[in-house]
Amino acid sequence: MTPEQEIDPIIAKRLSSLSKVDPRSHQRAIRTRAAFLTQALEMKGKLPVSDSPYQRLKRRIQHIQPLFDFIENRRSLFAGIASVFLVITLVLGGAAITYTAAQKSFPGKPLYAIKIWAEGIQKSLAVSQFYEYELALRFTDRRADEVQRMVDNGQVVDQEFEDRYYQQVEEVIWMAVDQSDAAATPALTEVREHLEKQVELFTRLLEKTPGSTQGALQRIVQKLQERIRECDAGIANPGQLRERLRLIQPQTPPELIETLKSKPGENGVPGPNATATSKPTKTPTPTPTATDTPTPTPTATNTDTPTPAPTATDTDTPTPTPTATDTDTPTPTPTATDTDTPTPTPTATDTDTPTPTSNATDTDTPTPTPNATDTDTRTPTTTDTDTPATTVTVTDTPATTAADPDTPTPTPEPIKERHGLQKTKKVEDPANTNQDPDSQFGPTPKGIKQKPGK
Amino acid sequence: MSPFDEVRLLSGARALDLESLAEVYDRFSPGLYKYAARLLGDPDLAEDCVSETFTRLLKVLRQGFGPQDHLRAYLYRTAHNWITDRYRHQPLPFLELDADLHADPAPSPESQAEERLENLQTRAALAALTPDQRQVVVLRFIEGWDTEEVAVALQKPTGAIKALQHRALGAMRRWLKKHSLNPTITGER
Repeated sequence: MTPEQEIDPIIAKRLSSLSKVDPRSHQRAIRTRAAFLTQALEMKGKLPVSDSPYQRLKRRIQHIQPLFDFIENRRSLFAGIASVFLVITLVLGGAAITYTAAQKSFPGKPLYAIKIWAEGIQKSLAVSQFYEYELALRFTDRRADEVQRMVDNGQVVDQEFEDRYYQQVEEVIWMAVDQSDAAATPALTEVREHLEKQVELFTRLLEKTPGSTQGALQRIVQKLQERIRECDAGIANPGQLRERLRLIQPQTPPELIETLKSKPGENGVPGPNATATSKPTKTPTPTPTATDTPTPTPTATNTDTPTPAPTATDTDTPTPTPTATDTDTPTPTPTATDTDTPTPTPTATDTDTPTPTSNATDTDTPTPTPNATDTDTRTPTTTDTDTPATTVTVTDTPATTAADPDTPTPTPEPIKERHGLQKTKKVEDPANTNQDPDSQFGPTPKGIKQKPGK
Repeated sequence: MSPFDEVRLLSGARALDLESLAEVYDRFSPGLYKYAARLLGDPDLAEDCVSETFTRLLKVLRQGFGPQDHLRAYLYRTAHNWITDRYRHQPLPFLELDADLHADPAPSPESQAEERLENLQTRAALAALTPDQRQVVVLRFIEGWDTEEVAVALQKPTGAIKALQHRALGAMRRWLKKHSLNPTITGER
């Protein structure tokens, strides 16, 4: 069917009349053609070096196609590698996610233990004393935030948290002051500013907290204010604060004491706490036996020389120090005291005068010199008698017993210059090395560890 | 134009080869001009339509797109879209068939005036159609394309072209019956 057959002849006629078009202007046609070609020329000159984005993408796909083919051909090998990477990614990613999630936790939350553990790890990995100080300072701020969250959630601030908080504040103060005076002053100022902000925070929280939490908050504020005053004193005279902190016994939580008691000493060093508790039960007798020994006393009275006097005082005064407590083998004690005839040991030294044991009163021989040596040999016995007293004090304050007064106090050297701190290795206190590493209180700060007891 | 020639022209045009572009222009611009002039009835507008159609072709070729084949259909579709936009923004003035309509001062003024009047009426009738109906009617009955070629140009199936053609002719008939003073248009066939 032709188009003419499909259409009304009248309409076909009308449409055919439209087909008659006036001839196109030749000049106009040439101008339009020239304009078109000029435009094409300009576009060609501006053609980008590379192809169109679509073509570039197509070409890149073609370039990397062999890689896909290679992977396809070795599917099993790459599947194994991909599995290993997947597992590693999952493990590391899971750990990272857990760590990140733990950073937002606070006491009472399941991940809080991870947060505290991670803080301990961070501090132990600190490359210098300065970074350790900075971390400790940041952790005190974290504790303050945690208090705020606990209050916001209506949670009660427990004693364990408070103890940890105080311990960290004391630690950071010690780290600030434990350096040269020039560096300690700005550090203490910084600590003071942080503590002030924390006090402000807690003061604000006090206004909106219920009564059950107010007590804890007030205690915290009070403690922090004490530390701020301590910082003020330190800013005025860093050396004095440093000395005072060395002498002050750090407040050790009772839980820590229990932990220390339960853990025996390590590395061959007898745990002072353990010996302290067992001593009184084991050797209650040495005291009377020592006093029963008649031999030293008569020699002292008989001799005109003033030398016996120290022997007499040995029996009375328990000065001989707790060194005896450390000795688990009180061998001198029984040999010297239990034997009525102290001949074996003294005779060896007395040589010329075997009499002092039995004839001490009778002999007129003023031979005090051997007696003097006698007393020296018996000093262990006398000191042994004093052990019960020492052990009693040990149970009260383990840190005190652990520290030997005779041992030279480890004076911490100026550790760091502010913002240019030097890392120095501090002497580890055996009492602290015995601490359980899994203890919830974490490792005791180095600075505080070094502080000897009174 | 054979398919081989079309592919050669298109590949040259895609590389913005001037010779290929000149050949494309020389081959298709006369027909495009007539197509535009029939629909628009204005030589200047028709020339603008041709110029804009080839400019659009250049732009798409430069961007890496454009026709892969059927270059003529692509060009007519572009021109048709331009004309449709023109209709939308500037519709043809309504034709007043009054007695004051004067003929051109040509040697036979009556016949020329009548022919001009009929052309105006026909264009008005075409303008009243939908764009697709108008394109089908023009390509099929003025340009003389067959149904398959029109289907390629409109990117529609052949059946759809036939349906469009049927509706377009009916609409034109009704329009002319309504607006024409010529009693020969019965509108019934």
